[in-house]
Amino acid sequence: MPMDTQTITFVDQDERRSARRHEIETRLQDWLSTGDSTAFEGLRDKMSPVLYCYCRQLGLRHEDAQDAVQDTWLNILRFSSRIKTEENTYAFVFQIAHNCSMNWYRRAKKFHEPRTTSLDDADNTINVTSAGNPEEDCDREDTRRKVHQALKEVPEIYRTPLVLLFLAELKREEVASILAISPGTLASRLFEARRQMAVALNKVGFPGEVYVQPRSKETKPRVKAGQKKIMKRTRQQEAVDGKGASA
Amino acid sequence: MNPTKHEMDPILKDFFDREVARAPKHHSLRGPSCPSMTRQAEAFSSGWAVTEWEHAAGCDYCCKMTVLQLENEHPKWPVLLQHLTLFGQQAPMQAHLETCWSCKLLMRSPIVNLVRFWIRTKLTTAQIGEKLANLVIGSVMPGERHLIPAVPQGKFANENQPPFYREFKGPNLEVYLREGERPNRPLIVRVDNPNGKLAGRTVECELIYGDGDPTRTSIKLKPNAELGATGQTTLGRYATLAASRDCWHILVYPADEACSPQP
Repeated sequence: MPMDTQTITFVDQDERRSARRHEIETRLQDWLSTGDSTAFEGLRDKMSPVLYCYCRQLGLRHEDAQDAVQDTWLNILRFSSRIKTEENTYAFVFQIAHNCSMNWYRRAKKFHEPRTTSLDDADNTINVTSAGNPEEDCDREDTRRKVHQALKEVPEIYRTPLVLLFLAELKREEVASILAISPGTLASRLFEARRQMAVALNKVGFPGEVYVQPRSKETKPRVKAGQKKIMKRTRQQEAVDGKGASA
Repeated sequence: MNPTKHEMDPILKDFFDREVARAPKHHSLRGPSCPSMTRQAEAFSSGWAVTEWEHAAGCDYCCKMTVLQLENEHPKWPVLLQHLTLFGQQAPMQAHLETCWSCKLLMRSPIVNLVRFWIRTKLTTAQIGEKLANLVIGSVMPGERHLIPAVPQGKFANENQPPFYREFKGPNLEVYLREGERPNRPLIVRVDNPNGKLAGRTVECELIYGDGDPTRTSIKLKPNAELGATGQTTLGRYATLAASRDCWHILVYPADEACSPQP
């Protein structure tokens, strides 16, 4: 019985999420076709919370995230004529949002180490409580905190595709295009993200055991790009030294 | 599958749904009297109306929005003039001018300072307009680059076509800009005064561009039977002066009407 209830909840959740994307897309089309400022404000009200959450997940602080969202909207207004010519307007708008957020992320990195922060740290967050019993609300809040804690453990390279996929309601090909990576790379990053997320959830004591997908094969430890360059230079230097010695 | 084991996707979907529900819809600094974002973007191009300015100049949110816009684009003429006349959002503009060489040079330009002087001496808008029309022969605004033929740096579209050429005609002065001959291909400026009234006088020619120092030159107008009074000079290589710059302005005015910056 509990399993059935859970399944129904998830189906509802999917419908609600696709309805949210549909609503944003409709408002976007309204604004692009009419150019009406009221339509734009409606779109902004609907989409700003998603953009704000995305910025926070990247590690921006409350103030920076708010500014990054405003910057995104100003850029959307600036490039509105270009957005009209795009086939997938929703994805293009998110492309602008991603670029703006990354600019703010790089800027923030100069001053402090960005870290994924919970919305609890923000001053202006809205407390959402259901009309049900407080105990249930408390449990849900506890679960939310644990998921957040686990998400923090996942490196940014894996976390970003996960956030774009589940927060922004983007399709896989759209996420790959925004991050400028191939669909194969995206699939492997998503797999690793889910795997690391599952490990982290079990570590933080998420209620129930989370299934950890095994790695398909043992892979060699990753060598960073910088390390590769150093190794290459060392090899070249050795080769030059060897020639010099033999000469 | 073991029913105690969750799948990852529903957990994440649920988590992000809750986060979105908790996120603020508006910027925390935004007040009820702040203009909409579309109006903010409009005001950045055309300047603030007097009724809006009182709010916009002192509102943290509106100033922040202007700062964000200034990070992406240079201010337009109306906004610069509003700043010069101490009307407009002083704080964000001041911050922009501290870091932007292009706008700083534009503000230092004698012609801009002349306008400021006229405004401070309480000339009417019509008087300033008339004086400006007589003074400024031509100016190419950064946003209107389409007026300039698109030519790559140091090279023209077609060897057989005439060289890069522009002319600006005003009531007293006519300015011709053209590319000179090989090997140096200089940017040649010729100034004509058709009625010959300015013969024997000197005109100042100023080319403002990019983030470098403006190139200035003086041209003495000599009497000419056909052209009234005329003078010509070179400003340097065309390729390095005009073609490679995103933003440039050519200002020509009689030397004795130029005004030093007022305190």
